[in-house]
Amino acid sequence: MPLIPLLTTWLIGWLVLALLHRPRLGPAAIGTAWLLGTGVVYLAHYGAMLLFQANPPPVLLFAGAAGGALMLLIKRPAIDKAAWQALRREPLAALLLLGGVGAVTLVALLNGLGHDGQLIWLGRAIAYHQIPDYAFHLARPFPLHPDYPPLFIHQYQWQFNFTESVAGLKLPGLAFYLTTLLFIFSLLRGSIQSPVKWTLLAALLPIYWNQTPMAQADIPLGAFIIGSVYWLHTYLRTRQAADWRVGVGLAAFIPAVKFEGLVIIACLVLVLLGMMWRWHDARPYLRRMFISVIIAAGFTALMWYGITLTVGAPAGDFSLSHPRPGEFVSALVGLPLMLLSPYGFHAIWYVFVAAIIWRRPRIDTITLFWLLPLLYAGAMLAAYLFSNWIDLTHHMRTSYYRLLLQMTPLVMVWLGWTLADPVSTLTPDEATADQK
Amino acid sequence: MRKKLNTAFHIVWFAGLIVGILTFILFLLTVPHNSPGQRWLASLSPSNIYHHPAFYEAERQDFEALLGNELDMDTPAYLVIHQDETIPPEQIEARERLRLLIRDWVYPVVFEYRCAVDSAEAIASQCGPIAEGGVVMGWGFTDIPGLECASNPRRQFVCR
Repeated sequence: MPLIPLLTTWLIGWLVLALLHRPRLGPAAIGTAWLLGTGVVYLAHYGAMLLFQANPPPVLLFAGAAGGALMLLIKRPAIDKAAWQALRREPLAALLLLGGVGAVTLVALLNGLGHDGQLIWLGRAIAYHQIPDYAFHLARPFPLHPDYPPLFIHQYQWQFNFTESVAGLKLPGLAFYLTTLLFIFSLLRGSIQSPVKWTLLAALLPIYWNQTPMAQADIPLGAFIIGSVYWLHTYLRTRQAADWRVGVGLAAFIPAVKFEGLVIIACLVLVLLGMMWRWHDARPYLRRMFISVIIAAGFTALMWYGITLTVGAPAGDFSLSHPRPGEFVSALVGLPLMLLSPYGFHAIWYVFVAAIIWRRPRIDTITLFWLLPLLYAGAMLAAYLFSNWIDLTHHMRTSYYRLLLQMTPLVMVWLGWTLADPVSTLTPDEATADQK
Repeated sequence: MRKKLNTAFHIVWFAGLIVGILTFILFLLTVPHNSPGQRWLASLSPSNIYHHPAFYEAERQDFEALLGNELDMDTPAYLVIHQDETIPPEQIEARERLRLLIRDWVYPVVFEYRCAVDSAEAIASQCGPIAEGGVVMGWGFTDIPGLECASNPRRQFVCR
């Protein structure tokens, strides 16, 4: 039973992807279908709750069935064989990757419900399920953070229709974790000699051991970021409108996953602006991305934040009217050590910064993979200047490592491209595998 | 230089893997929720003192005695605070203890209401619905007409 909403979500996403693109059944398409599916689940819940103060009728099941029919009966998708060949070329790494992901899955499923992060998201899903009325919940301070955007919450809600088991409710979080890995692998294969090994390195980063069991929204947000960047990056290489449509479609949902999505979109727009300034050849395509991301993400942002502003939700974690420079500076002193805390162990960010200084990368197709994480890490660090928490250091210590997690997939891909041995020659199949 | 950075990355990664495996072991200790392992973990973190089960053990015992251990996770809970109530500083901790007790005990279905508590009908009409079988907990009062209530010496009450 817990697999029904998961499978339905994915099939709905496949249906949408088939409308936007001509997908081949490969890692990137599988991940994209999941993300698009969760977007549709969000929109269905949003419409039903906003307009009717009700949970959505079971139309999602029919949409999922239509996606399944499209896939199996109407048009069988072509299988991306190059992806499987890449796995077969690194059998040991593939086996370890399977074992590692299995171990993280096991940890996530076995772990109980004792963590604040999961309780916040799951608690709100159950509260929505009982009283499906945004205004009702936004006007109340508990469950915590009523102003959190509800994409991941609605995915829990959809899951909650079919299962009440802890393991069943952990599945959406796991699906986003796996989606992240699919995109990392898709970006690295064809570029470096050991894409499976580098995907394994990403999969077993301690932040994932820690965060995947908690099933918080940071991993889903990270999946949307790398998914969107994957397709926008592909668009810059192929210049095909289908890639642009999918990339913008995924970027549109970024503000609907977490509040920080607004900052991420602002950073993405700034990076695109910088790329337009320095990369003349790609200017028309970058301009197209720039305008469409602003419109699409602005629309979804308005969908949620319009309601929170109308209802007057309680104050969030940050307030622009109360900067606290003294406490901020003293919190910054502890930052280097904070990045090494067992909660996140973000030491790879040190290597990331060192590699950027060493490479002095030019503005080109891979700019999104280093400038966006760097800009976002700086922007969110600066945001703590306006923390609403009584103890600013405690606020930073308990959340900054999760904010970095959202960008960690991009960091890993860039490190893979920068540090791993590049492939000397590509077969035509590999070189174009992600472009079709 | 690339080779040096690559080596540095792998050293960092293996150090991280050790941290990851340790985290894995700690997670095993935390199964199921509120297990001895989890209590031990909570005791390690000074910032997490409010979440330590020992913190509200007295309230837990009080309410288990009052309710007869009948609560489960499917039971919605409502933390009700009177709309006119201002909480004196010395009482904030008592209220925080109650909030955390509710959250850790019957979570995840907790609604916090701030409204008149003259009667069950007043809560329902001014704040929102109380689901069938739901438990109402509050602070600073002893009674809600229309509900069966009991209180403890800390001015915390529970009704159903």
